[in-house]
Amino acid sequence: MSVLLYIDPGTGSILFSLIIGLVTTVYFVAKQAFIALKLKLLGSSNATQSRGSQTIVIYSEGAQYWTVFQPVLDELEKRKIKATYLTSAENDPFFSNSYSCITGEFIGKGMTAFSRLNFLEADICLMTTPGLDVYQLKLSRGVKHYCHLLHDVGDATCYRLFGLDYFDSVLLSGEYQIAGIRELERKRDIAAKELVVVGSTYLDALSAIAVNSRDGRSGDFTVLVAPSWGPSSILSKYGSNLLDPLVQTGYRVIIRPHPQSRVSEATMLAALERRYASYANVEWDSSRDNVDVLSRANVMISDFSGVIFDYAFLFDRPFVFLNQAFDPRPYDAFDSSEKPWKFSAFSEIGREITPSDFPEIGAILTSVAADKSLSAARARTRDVAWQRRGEAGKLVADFLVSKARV
Amino acid sequence: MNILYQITIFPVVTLIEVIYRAIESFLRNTGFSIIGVSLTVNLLCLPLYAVAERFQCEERDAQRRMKRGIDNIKAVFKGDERYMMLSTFYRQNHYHPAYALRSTFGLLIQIPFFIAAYKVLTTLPDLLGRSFWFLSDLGSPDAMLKIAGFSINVLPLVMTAINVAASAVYTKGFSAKEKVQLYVIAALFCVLLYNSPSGLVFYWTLNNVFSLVKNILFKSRHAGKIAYASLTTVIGLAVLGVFLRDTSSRQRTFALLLFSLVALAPLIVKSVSFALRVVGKRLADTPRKTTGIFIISMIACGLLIGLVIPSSLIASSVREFSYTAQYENPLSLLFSVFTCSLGFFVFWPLCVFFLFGKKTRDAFAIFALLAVAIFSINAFIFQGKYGTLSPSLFFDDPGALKAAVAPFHLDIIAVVIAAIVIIFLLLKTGAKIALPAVTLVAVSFFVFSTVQAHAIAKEFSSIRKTHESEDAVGSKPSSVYSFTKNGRNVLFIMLDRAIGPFVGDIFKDDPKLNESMSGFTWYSNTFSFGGHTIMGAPALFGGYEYTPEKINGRANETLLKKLDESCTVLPRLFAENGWAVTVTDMPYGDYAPYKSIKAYQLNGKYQDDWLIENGMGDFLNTVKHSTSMNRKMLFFGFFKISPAFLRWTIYDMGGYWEMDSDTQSRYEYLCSYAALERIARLSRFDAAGNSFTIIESDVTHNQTFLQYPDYAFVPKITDLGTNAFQSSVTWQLYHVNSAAFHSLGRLMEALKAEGVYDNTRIVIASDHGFKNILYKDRTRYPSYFKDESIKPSYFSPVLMVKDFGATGPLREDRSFMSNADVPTILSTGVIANAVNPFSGLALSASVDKKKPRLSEQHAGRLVDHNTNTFRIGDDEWITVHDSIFDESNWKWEKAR
Repeated sequence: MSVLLYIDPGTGSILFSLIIGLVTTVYFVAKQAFIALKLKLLGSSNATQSRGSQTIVIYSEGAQYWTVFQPVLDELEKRKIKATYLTSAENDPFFSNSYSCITGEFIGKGMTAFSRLNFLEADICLMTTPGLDVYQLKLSRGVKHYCHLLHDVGDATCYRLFGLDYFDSVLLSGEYQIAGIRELERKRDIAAKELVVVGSTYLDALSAIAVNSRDGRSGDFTVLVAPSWGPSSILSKYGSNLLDPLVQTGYRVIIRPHPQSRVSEATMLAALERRYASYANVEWDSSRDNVDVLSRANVMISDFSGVIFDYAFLFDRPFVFLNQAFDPRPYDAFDSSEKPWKFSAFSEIGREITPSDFPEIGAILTSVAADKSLSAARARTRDVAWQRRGEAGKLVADFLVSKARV
Repeated sequence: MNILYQITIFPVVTLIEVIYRAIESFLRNTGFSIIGVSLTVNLLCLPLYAVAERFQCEERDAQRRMKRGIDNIKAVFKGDERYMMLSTFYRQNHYHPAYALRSTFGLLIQIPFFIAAYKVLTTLPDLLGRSFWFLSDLGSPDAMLKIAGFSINVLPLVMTAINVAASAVYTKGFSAKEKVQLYVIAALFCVLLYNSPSGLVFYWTLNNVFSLVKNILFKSRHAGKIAYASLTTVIGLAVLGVFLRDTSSRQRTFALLLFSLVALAPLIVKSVSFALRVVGKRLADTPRKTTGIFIISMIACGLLIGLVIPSSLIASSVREFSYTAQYENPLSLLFSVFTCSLGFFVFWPLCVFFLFGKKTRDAFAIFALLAVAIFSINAFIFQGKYGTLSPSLFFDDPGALKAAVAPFHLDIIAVVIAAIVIIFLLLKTGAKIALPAVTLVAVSFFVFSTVQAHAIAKEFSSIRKTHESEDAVGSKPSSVYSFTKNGRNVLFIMLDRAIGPFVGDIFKDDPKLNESMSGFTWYSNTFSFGGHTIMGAPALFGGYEYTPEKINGRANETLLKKLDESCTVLPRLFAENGWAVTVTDMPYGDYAPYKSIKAYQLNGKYQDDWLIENGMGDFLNTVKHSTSMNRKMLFFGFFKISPAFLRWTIYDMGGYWEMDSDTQSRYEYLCSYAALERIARLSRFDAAGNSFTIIESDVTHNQTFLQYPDYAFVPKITDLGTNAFQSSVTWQLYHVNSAAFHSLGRLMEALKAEGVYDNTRIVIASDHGFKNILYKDRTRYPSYFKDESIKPSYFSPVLMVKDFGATGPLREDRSFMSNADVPTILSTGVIANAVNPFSGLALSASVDKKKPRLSEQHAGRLVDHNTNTFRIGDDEWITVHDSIFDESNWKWEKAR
């Protein structure tokens, strides 16, 4: 067997060079073919892509935002610009209108809607939904530009954390909102957004309606309780402590909870509804538009909700507020160095109360309702918060068109 | 599990072993070697620790920076919303919760090093019984304090104290959580190592000292300068020490080299990093391609060393790597080598690569690319000629390796040119050409290996068939040989590569052999016609018709046919004359057509039984689980890819830098030895007619050390006797030759006991000698030869004859003989008119000893020769006449 013990560690050099030659050839031929194929495929696929995508898409999270979008849709219709309106409200007022250029579609609610939107293809997508790419609603690769339209003339930093961070642009109601957004961009090291002051579409729409029904006040002294939502809102925070003395006054009390309360704080609301079920002077309002109920109120009680501005700007009526309990932590304002502007504005144009005022709430409200002295202040504040009045629909449409290939 | 070990731990184990061996060979002191290993391993790991430290810093900073935000989100949000807010927050802070794992890297990195150090230092044979400083036995726990009969190990406690101190320095100003973590780990190590060998604890204590020093330095602002100054001082003092002591010039050169390397380190680092920045500039813009170059280059290296080289080695003789102690299928061995190689070239380099920043990565990519080029050049262009290789990867002529330098240092020139070309390429084109080029090389390596592996698989399946059929037809036959008491026996024992000049020494060393092997005549003035079995054995088995010259004279027949024929001459002659014929382990010969000839393969069948019968089951276990072979194969890869001047060092006398290098080769020795020892047990002594037997044995071919003075195989050798030779290879050969004769002595005793000694003619002969048998005593043959080109021991085989009825102690006969006389000796007087059954010529017909032509050609494989003839150059023929002992009788036919 000894012959097999002799092994020469020779390595098959010839075979090796043969293989190198072969592989080289195969490699270059294959690469050439691959490049040719890629060119062909890419050329044709681009064409199909442009046919299939929707250039302007507007997404409405619910029927309550109809007044926000209606001026925009009307303007696009007027200019005969094609757009797609996707809504999560089955009974969206859109469907009772007849637009010829705008196609509308109900895409379901919640995850059903998001799963559609997450694969959307569009040049620009306009929406009022905050928290893009933070919550389940993700950035779609097919959308070139995400645009947020404020549905409130308050600060843009009052959304829950990271509310506007991943939009490409935000359409503002007043220049004062710019500073807050820019500060967050700097602090969070995120891309700068395109910020355009367009005014307020819904206030434009509501003021048109408010002009017709400017005074819905009846003989009864009517108090509107219109809070925000969340743990620092007055309904959650004070609930019956505030409502009990209010109801005792015998005034007509309309309670209009924030739409999000119905979603997030249903138990708390149900308990309160049961508590005041037997009171004839208590009315719960959840109508889509607030303009009717606003017009009926002699005075409003609120906390830090944007509805304060709606009421003050549309009807120039007085209000009381209590927002000492405001907790900025869930909101973008947490990262701002300054308290949102709207709080100082409230103090200028409204009367601040504290829980110790609750026993005398009736007297306070009647005196505030009679006070006309803050009217000038309200007008000044309105000029800051709500600019380009009456132009919003047109300006938003301009912006959409500038971003889309129409 | 095994694969995981081979990829992750094995490279570290090997690294530590090599460092230990290197330092040990220089310092010759186990304790200092451990210090050296600790220092080297820690210095090598220093960059990794620095990275780990950076990660930890980054993590701490990130946590501090994000604390307000995280606390806020956790306080305000609940459930899914909290998760979504947190993940957005992390995203905005360029952070991922998985990064927290990075900060445990500092701890993580110690684990493989710990396991590896544990493995090396608990199994280190050097530790046992060695004392160092205050430690009496590095191989067992120190047990320094003895209180009331209990012994307490002090060193682990010292180690823990240092560990705690190091942790305290390190965690200054950290959170309590981090502090506790480190103290718990310190306690854990104390428990883990309490009962370990003090050598290992000593090693870990040194690591902790290093870590303490490192932590103090890291807290200082001039860490680099202090480290440099102290290291230079320490090494400077050590070098001074080397010079003051009585040290060799080699040690002094090494010490000076080390010192200058350390002293100039900042300069070297700066200039290298400057050069890399210049070259790396083109790569800087394409980080992904840089990563690609690095990964693919490392894969190419892994494939070259783990598949290409071992697969061609295995493919060159699949049989040798089949059915070994550890691997039935040679592809398993190949796979195992490959996983080890992946650990070395892919896993660890990638781990290190991704730890570093962009600039360092560029440098890594450049080095990786250079490595592929240099490795390939060395492996494929400068293969070198170092003689043949045994299955345990010993070269039979390692001396050639020591002297081996490529002509004009062409290898180094080629490497430099390749490096310049690559650097130029990178400067001009960046990754554009380099990436596809290295990909091409990697793919080629893969394809090449696949082709080789396929060939191996194919050949193995045919080997498996014969193996299984051998197994079926009585795999371990219980009766092979037969002897007659009434008629005559002729027994020929062929010892492959047994060395003629050794015979006298062996009988002198153990005079009892004169009694057991009585009646033998030793023909000391005997030559063989070749230096390898392929050219020496044919004449030995077939006579003068089969000398290299005669075989080449029959140029119309295939070489293999003639080799087979030579080994069949005697069996046929005796069989055709009515003798019972048995042959075992013959190197050539196709006996299938001759039904009356019984042929067996016994080599490799009895060693496991032998080990168990002799109470060495543990050794057998070690062999079966040894990683020796795949490790050796891997190092053989390192050997092949390195420049010629490094190969001698890597070869390491065939040990390839292993701590326990010879388990495998010793097992191979046993494969032959056990078969030789078994002869008597495999024999019947009641044959009716005459009996002719040829036994071939490789005992004398496997160089290994054995236990002096009996040359017995023992698990742990403690006495080697004295070395009379100039090289340890020769000394080992002397050991195995002695062992063979001791075994034969026992066989003769057995034949005597059975009453078949006197009626048996016995010839013991070898097919050839060994190239470099050189005694320290220069007056002994062949050490006094002046012309170094003549290597007479190559052609000095054993030839011993005991005729029927011969008695008395060993008698030396100085008649001029050749081992081609053996067929005549065997047949004389027992077969009338003995003729070669193939040629019809009388066996003694063509004897011409006046001017025999010996072949100096040393290609040992059939494939190295022509199909029909030996490939022997005109300047490779040498002649000798009358006396092999006289240098003037040896003449090259054509002057060299």
